[in-house]
Amino acid sequence: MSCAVSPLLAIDDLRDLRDLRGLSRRPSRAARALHVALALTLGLAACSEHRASRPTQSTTPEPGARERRAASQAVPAAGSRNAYGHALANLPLERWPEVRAGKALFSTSWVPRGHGDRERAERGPASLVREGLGPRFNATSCHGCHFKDGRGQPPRDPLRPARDRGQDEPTGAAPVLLRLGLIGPGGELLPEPTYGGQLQDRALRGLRPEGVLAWNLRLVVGQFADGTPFVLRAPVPRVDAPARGPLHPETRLSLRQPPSLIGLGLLEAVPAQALEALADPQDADGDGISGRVHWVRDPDTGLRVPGRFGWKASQPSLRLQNATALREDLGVTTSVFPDPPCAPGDADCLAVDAASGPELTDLELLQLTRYTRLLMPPAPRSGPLAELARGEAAFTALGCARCHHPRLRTGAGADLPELDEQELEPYSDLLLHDMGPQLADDRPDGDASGREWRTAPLWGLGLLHVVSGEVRLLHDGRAHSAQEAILWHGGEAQAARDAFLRASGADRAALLTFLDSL
Amino acid sequence: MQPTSLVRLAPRLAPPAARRPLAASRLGSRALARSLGLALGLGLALAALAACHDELAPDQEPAHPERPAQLAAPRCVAHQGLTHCALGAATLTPSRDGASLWVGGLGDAQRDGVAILLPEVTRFAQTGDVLGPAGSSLLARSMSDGVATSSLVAQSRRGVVELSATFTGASAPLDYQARLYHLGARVGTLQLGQGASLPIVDPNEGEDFDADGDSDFHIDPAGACIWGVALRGRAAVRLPDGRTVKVDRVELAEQVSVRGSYPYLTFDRIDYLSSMGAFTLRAETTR
Ligand code: HEC
Ligand code: HEC
Repeated sequence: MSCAVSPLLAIDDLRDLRDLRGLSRRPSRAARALHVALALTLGLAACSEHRASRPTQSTTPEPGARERRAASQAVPAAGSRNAYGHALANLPLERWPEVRAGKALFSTSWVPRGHGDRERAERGPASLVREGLGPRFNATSCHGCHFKDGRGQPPRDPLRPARDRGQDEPTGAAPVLLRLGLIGPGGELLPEPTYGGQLQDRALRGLRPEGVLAWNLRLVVGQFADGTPFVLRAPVPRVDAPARGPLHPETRLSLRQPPSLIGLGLLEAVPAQALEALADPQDADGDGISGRVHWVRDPDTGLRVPGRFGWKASQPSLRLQNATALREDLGVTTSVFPDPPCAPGDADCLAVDAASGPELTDLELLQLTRYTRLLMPPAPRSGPLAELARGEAAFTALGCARCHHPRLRTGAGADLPELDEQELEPYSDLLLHDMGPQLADDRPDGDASGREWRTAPLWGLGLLHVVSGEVRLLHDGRAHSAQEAILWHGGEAQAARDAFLRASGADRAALLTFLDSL
Repeated sequence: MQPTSLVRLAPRLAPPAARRPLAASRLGSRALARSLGLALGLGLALAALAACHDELAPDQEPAHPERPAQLAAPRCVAHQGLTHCALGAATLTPSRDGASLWVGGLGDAQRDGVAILLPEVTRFAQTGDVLGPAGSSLLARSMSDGVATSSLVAQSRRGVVELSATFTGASAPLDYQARLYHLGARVGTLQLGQGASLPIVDPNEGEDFDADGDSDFHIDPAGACIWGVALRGRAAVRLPDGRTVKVDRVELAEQVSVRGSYPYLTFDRIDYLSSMGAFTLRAETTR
C-alpha cells in the first residue's frame, strides 16, 4: 500500500476550498496560495509522521449521573481496550458458553488447507486455528479487521518478532477493503467483470493477489467562521498491479473501513416500523433532512426488510452480514454462501479451492452471529457536567440529533429475551442520508445511491481511540477526529455542518467533549 | 540454605553493551522524518514523496514491520524455549546449562522485570523464587493481545506476604475468591473484595518468615482467570475469624459473573516485575 500527496490534487482543492468555505467570499489569491502551501506541507508532514498515542481520558465515572441506562448496558472498565468486547449486562447464564464459542470463532485464524497442524504448533497449544482460508481473501480472521470488536488490527507487541511469512501475513496497515462495481443499464450495481464486487488483495500461495490496494490523498482546506483554518484529507483509492488485466474503465471504487461491532444485536431488534417512523423520504417537514429506510430483500425469507448493517445499510441481518464477511473477507464458505470467493472466470482461483461443503457449519455461524448480537455498547461516561450539557444542547441545536437519533427501543418477542424491549442510545436512525459529493463513492449499492450512507451510530465513539489505538471515522476512515468527521458532512447534513462552522469555539469544544463522552 | 539468597546478593551485572531497543530507534527515525518533512517545504515535496511510499496513510503503522534480523534485540534471551525480554532496568542472565534465568536490576515493581513471550496458551507455570524478602513487592501480570488482563501482587512485609489480584473480565469491579489448599485438599475458600489481600504467614508466627514458591496462571473452561502460588516450606493463612490454616497452595480466582463479562480465551504473555533486586526463573511450562 502506498500514499502519495500529489500537488495536482492540491490544485484540485481550490474547488473544494470554495465549497467548504461557503460562508465567506472567495479567498484572495494570496490566501489561496497560502492554503495550497499549507496543505502540501501538512500533507507531507502527516505522511512521514506516525501517530503519537493519545493519552486516555481520565474522567471519574459517575454511574447514574448521566442518562438513564438500559438493563443491557453497564459501565465496562472505562478506558480499557476491552471496552467494546463485553457481553450484554443482562445476558442469561446459559448464553455465556455460546458467547465464548462465538468469540473463539471471531478470533480464529484461518489458514490454508493442510497448514493447520504446523500453524497450531507454531502459534501455541491453545491457538484458535482452522483450515479453509481463501483462495482469495483480505484478512485471516474477523479479529484481524475488527480488533477487540472495534476498527483496527491487533497491535504488534514491540517485544515480539514479526512473523514474516509472505503473502498470507498482514501488512500491519490499518484494515480497509475495496468494493468494486459498474453501473448497469438500469442504474443497478454490477460486479466488475474480472474482479467481482470486492478486491481481494491477498491470496494463497501459488495464486496472484487480485491487485494492490493503494490510494492518493486528496486535500481539502477550509476555515471556520472565526478564521481558524483546517485541512482535511481523503483517500482516493486505486488498484495497482491488477493481476488479471486492467479493471473496466468505468469501475466505481468504494473504500470501506470496518465499523465497530458494539450493540449490533440491539440495532437488529429495533422494529422496522420504528425506523419507518423516523424516515421522511420526501422531506415532508421541510427540514432538509430526508432519511429513508434502505429496503433490501432478505434472501432467507424473500421479504423486503430494512437493511441495517454495513456503511450503506445493505445487509438486513447479522447472520447475512457475517456469512458475507466470511466468504468475501476470509474466503470461508457457509451453507448461506457455499461458493468460494472467486470472480466468474477466475479459473486459477477455482482450481485452488478444493473445499467440499461449507467450511463453517450452521451451528458455528449461529454461534458467531450470537456473539455479534450480544456485544454490549459501552455506557456513556461522565465528565465536566456543565460542559457536557452545553455539548448535548449544541448537538441538538446544530441538528445532529435529526439523524444521529439519540434513543431507540427494541421490540418485544425477540428470539433472545435479553434483546427484548431494551432502551438504547445508539445516536443513529439507521436510515440512509444523502451526504453530498464530498463523501460520495458514486457506487450505488442496492437501493442506496452513491451519495447515501447510513447514519453512523455514535455510541462508544469516545472509547474508539482506546480500543482501536487510533481514531478513524467515516466509511473510508478519512477523518481522524470527530471534528474532521463533522467537517466532511454535506448534502442533507450540510446545514448542520455549516452551523458547526459558525458555532463559537466554546460551543464546538463542548460538542466535541459531549461526543467524547459517548 | 536456599541457593536463591546467594543470587539475591550477587552484584548487579553491567547491562549488556546494547543496541538501542527497537521501539526507541523507531521513534528516533520517526521524529527525524517528521522534522525533515517540515523543513523540506514545497521545493522538495516530490523528493519527500519517496519517503512516504510504502506508508498507507498518516497515523498508521509502517507497511513493513521489522525484519527478523532486527529482532535479536539484546534485551531478549531464550530460556526454557521461550523468549524472555528485560523490562525497565532489568538485566537477564541465562545460566550456562539453560536451567535457570537470573533476572537482576530490579528496583521498581511497576517497571523492572521480565516479559515472557508465550504462544497462545491457557496455562503457564513457573518454578523459581519470584516472591521476595520483606520490604519487596512483586507484580505479575497476564497479557493478551497487548492488554493486561489480570495481575497478582505479592507484598512482602515482616512476617507476612500479602497476595492480591485484579481481574478485568467483569464490566464492574467484582469480588474474587481465594482458594486454600493443603496436601491436595481444599482447606478453605475466602471471598475477597476488590483491593483486599490474602495474608500468608508462618504457622508458628515466626517473624523471619520468608515465603517462597512457584507461580502459575491459567484461564479455566468458563473463562475465569486464576493465579496460583505453590508455597515451599511452612506457610499458613490467617482466616478472618483469627484461626490460621496451613496451606501449600493458594489460588486467587476471578468469578465470572457472565453479566457484562469479557470472554477471555487465551493469553500470550506473562510479566514479572519486582523491587526485590533479583530473582531466578527455572522451569516453565505452558499448555
Ligand atoms: C478485511 C477486513 C474485514 C474482515 C476480515 C472482517 N470484516 Fe467485518 N467489516 C469490514 C468492513 C469494511 C465492514 C463494512 C462493510 C460495508 O460497508 O459494507 C464490515 C462490517 C461488518 C459488520 C457490520 C457492522 C455494522 O455496524 O454495520 C459486522 C457485523 C461484521 N463486519 C462482522 C464481521 C465478522 C463476523 C467477520 C469474520 C467472519 C468480519 N466482519 C471480518 C471489514 C472486515
Ligand atoms: C443528515 C444526517 C446527518 C446529520 C444532520 C449529521 N450526521 Fe453525522 N453522520 C451521518 C452519516 C450518514 C454518517 C456516515 C457518513 C460516512 O460514513 O461517510 C455520519 C457520520 C458521523 C460521524 C462519524 C462516525 C463514525 O463512526 O465514523 C460523526 C462523529 C458524526 N457523524 C457526528 C455528527 C455531528 C456532531 C453532527 C452535527 C453537527 C452530525 N453528525 C450531523 C449523518 C448525519
